[in-house]
Formats: sequence, structure tokens, C-alpha cells
Amino acid sequence: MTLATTSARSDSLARQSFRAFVSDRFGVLFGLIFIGFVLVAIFAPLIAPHDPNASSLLRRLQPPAWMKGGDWAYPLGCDALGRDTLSRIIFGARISIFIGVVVVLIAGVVGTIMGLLAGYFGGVVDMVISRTVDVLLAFPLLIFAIGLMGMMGPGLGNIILALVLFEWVITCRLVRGQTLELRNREYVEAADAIGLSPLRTMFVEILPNILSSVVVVATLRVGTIIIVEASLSFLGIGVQPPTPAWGTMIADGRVFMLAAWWVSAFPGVAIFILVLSANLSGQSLRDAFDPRLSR
Amino acid sequence: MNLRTVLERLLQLIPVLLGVALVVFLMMALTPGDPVEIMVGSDDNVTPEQIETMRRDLGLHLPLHERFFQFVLSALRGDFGLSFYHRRPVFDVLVERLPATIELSIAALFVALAIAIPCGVIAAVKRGSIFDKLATTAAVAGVAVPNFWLGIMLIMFFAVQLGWLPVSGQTPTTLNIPHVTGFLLIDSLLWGRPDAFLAVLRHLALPALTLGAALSALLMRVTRSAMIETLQQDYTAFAIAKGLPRRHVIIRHALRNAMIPVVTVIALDFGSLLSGSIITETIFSWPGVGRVLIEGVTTRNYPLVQTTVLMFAVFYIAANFIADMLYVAINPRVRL
Repeated sequence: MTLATTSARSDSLARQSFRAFVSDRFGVLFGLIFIGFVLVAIFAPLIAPHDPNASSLLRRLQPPAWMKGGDWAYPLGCDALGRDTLSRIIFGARISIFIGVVVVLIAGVVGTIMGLLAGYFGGVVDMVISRTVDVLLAFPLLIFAIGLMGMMGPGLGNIILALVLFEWVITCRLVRGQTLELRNREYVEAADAIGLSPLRTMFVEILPNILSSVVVVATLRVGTIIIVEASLSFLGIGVQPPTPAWGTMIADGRVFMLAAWWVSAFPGVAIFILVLSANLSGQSLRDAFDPRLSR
Repeated sequence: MNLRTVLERLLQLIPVLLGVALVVFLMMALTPGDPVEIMVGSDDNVTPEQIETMRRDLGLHLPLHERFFQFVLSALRGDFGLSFYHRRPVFDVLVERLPATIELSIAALFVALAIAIPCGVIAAVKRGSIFDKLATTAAVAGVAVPNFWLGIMLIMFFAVQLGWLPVSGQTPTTLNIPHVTGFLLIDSLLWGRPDAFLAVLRHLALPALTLGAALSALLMRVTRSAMIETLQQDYTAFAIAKGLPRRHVIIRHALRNAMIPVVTVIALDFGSLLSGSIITETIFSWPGVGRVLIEGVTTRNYPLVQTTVLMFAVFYIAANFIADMLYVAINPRVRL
């Protein structure tokens, strides 16, 4: 698609929206930063200068390269076990992004299906789903996750499960509302009238019209999920050592706050930049693709 | 708003509360592992018969729905079981810790408001200025800063590097403030020791800033956009045309009306304050409910975890309810 050409015929909505997004320089910049993080995560073994778990007592709490006692082979210094901070941050990106994206994807699919069912069928189906949504929304996300993790125990699979169990509600509420709105449109009534199966009406007639909102809201949630995962790992009930995770790295460095600030500081900067880029590119996507959602 | 609407809204909360109780109950009931075995631990002197008696005492032999029924009945009586670690009723442990958390949350709210309202108002009045751009950027960035990291950085800078403020805890270890209300700021005043009051305040500063930072970013954005809206209203233009001083118009006319969304956001965002208190208390060794929850999780103290999560959810529901009511009460244009 060439962006500069203005065709005589009217553009599709998707094309207009895409153009609006691309013309938002900040959105594109932060989108590119986020993609950069994803690439770093995928190619971590190729990019990381060292093995993230290789420890050496000789390099214990070695400062960053520009400080006295630093070494450019270990640019961001080393932790208490002499492990390279930069390599651990690069590998830690894998956990943060994997959990952020996987949770939002699974929750998005589950929430969309539930929302379609509730909005399309109404009645008892809607009542059961909507009441479940109400109850789950009565928990702050982090507290719900801590409670579940406390019961299930730490680990990657349990984090994803605990977060998905809450997160589907966000998509479900959105999809239900939009389905209710579309339910009485003529084209949906026509689809019912010519005898299309409910499944087909839901997924072929209704879903494509609400998909852009779902994608936008999902993008905006990635940052929140990344922070919650980091918080759980920081509290010691998330990703378990020695797997490098940013939250765990910050917790490890806490003990050496006096002697070695860099152990905690750099992983926090990484979380900040990743979450900021996810939030800002999500906001730009929202403004371009679904201005109704912005308040 | 009449009493009837309030009562109707309260009644609507009952199914939600029951649902919340069910979720919390299932969290524990469906957990792999037997609570009795965890309670007994590695104690070899306990016979299988004793274990069976304990199971019966806890009602673990009953079918799931009966156990839920028992759970709700006991909860209504304020009986949440015994904390494994403290060997005391969970309810007592939490009530003891609650004032510390409430004190911290209120202090954080004050910090958030003290930053957000002046910055939001100035940003709105001087819209497009450098101050506005800086404040808006800081607000966007503020939401992306993980508060556990912010807390550690604040400790490193203000407590370790500069040595201005204490690293952790609620009071100096040498200071034994007599407990009256449990709120140390009030207790230290009742004790008649201004130095103790100051010491408590100094301990409160960094935790309150850590907890209030994210909320202040959000409130600043809300204040700014609400102020921009009210400054464009006819009544503001009329007040200026009438010749009233600008400062008077901004504060008395525009800000008062702009407070409506701010108050609602405060109540709606209470959940993040609760979640944040867990992290903040852990970092600053603050003896509140949040820290007890994490201790409970790491020691598999199930009754304690269950009750704390339930309590947080009930607080959250209550805050949302108050937000609804306040929204109507302070905004006569909205009627339920």
C-alpha cells in the first residue's frame, strides 16, 4: 500500500485508519521501540554478550563500564553472583513479552467468545456470563493474581493461568456491549432471517465489525500485564530463579542497594521503556482505529 | 438521590459479594494439597487419627457446597478461621494490621492530590505552555513506572545517598508509641510528643510518595482535562466578564466543578491504591495488611491469604459503591 498516493475512489476505513496511525509520529516511534524489544527477546541468544546464568565470583557486583572498576565486556555491570546484567535484561525481555502477549491473546480469544455468546443469546447465558464478569471485576487484578498464585504456587504456567482467569473479563465486557449494539442492526437480523446458524452470524457477521476495538483494547492491556507479572516476580511468587525475569532481578538487587545500585536500577528502566512503548503505541492505535474508545 | 435508591444499590451488591466469597472459597478449596497436612507440617508425633479429627473440625469431610455454606455463615459472624502461623484468629491479625495500611493509603492520597491538583490546574490554565507539556509527559510516563522499582530508587536516593529519610519501618525502633487508635500519627499526638509525631511523619514520607506517585499521574491528567472543560464553560466566561479576579474564577468557579470527575476517579482507582499498598509495604517493611498477605502467601498460610483477598475485594466494592453515590451527590445533573 502506498501511503502518499491519494486515489480518486474512496478509501476503505481500514486504510484510512492505518494512514492516521502512520501519520502519528509518536505512535510509530513507540510502536517501533516495542517491536525492537520483541526482536531482542526472540533473538536473545544471538544478541546477549554472555550466558545470562554464567556466574563468577570474581565479577561479583562489578559496576557498569563507565564507572571505576567497570569493564566494557560487561557494560551494565554484574549482580551478586557475577552474572552479566545486560544479558539478563535481554533474556528477561523474553519472559515479560511472552507473558504480556500470551495472556492478552488467550484472554482476548476467551473474552471475545464469551462476550459474543452473552450479547447474542442474551437471557440466561448473558446473566451467567455478566454476573461472573461483575464478580471478577470486584477484585483488583494484582490482588486476585496474588491470591491465586498463593494457592497454586509459583511458576510460569500458573502466572499465565492466574492472569488469564481475570483478564478475559476486560475483553468480554467490551465485546458484549458492542454485540448488543449490533444485535438489532438490519444486517444481523437479515442473517438470522435467512437462516444462518447463530455461530455463523456471531463469527462471520458480527465479529469482523468489533475486531478492531478488541485488538486496540488488547494492545492497551499488554503494559498492565507486564507490570503485574513483574510485580509478582518481584514479590517472589512469579517467575522463579534462575530464570532471568526483570521483577526478580530488581528484588535481587534490593539487598545490595547500598553497594550496587545498578543491579536493581537497569531492569526497572527496561520495564519502564517497554511498558511506556506498549501504552503509547496502543493509545495511538486507539486514536487511529477506534476513536470512540478514547475518552 | 433518595434513601430508596441507595438501599436498592446496596441490595444489588449482595449477589456480587456472594460471588466474591465463592471465588475466594474456590481459590482455597481447589488448591492442590491438604490444609491439615500443611498445618501439621513435618511434625511426626501427629497420628493419622488426630489428622482425621482435625479434618472433621475444619469441615473438610463435607461436600463442597456445604463447605461454602459454612464458610459464608462463619464469615458473617466474623469467624475466618485460625492463622496457621500466628495461631490466632485471622480476623484479629488483620484488624491489628489494618490501621497501618489505612494510614499509609490516606497519606498516599494526600501526596497524590498535593501533586496532581496544582499541576493539573496550572497545566490547564497555561495550556500548551512548556509547563503543560512537561506535566503531561510526566503523567504519561508516571503510569509506566513500576512502583516497586520507584520505591527502591527513592530509598537509594533519599535514604541511602542523602540520608534525609529513614530506609524502612513505621517508627524508629527506640520509640514505643502507646497504642490507642493504632494510627501512629494520631497516637503520637495523643501521647503529647511532637518529636514522635515528626519521626512517624518522616517514616511515612517515602512509602506515601511511592504509593501515591501513580495515582498522582492519573489524577493530574483528569484534573487537567476537567479544568480545560470547565474553563471553556459559559459560567466561567460570565464570571470573568463580570470582572471577578482571575484567581477567584479559577478556584471558585472552574476548579470546584472540575472536582466532580476527580473525586470519582479517586474512588474508582482505590483498587490500585490497595494493590500498590501490598508492594509498598513489602519494600518499606511496613507492618500493614499487604505485608501480611505476602507473608501468608510465602508461608502457605491459606486462611490468612483467603481472608485478606476477601477483605481487599470488599473494600474495593465499597469504594466503587461510594464512587457511584458521590458522583450523584456532587453532580445534581446526574440522577440515577
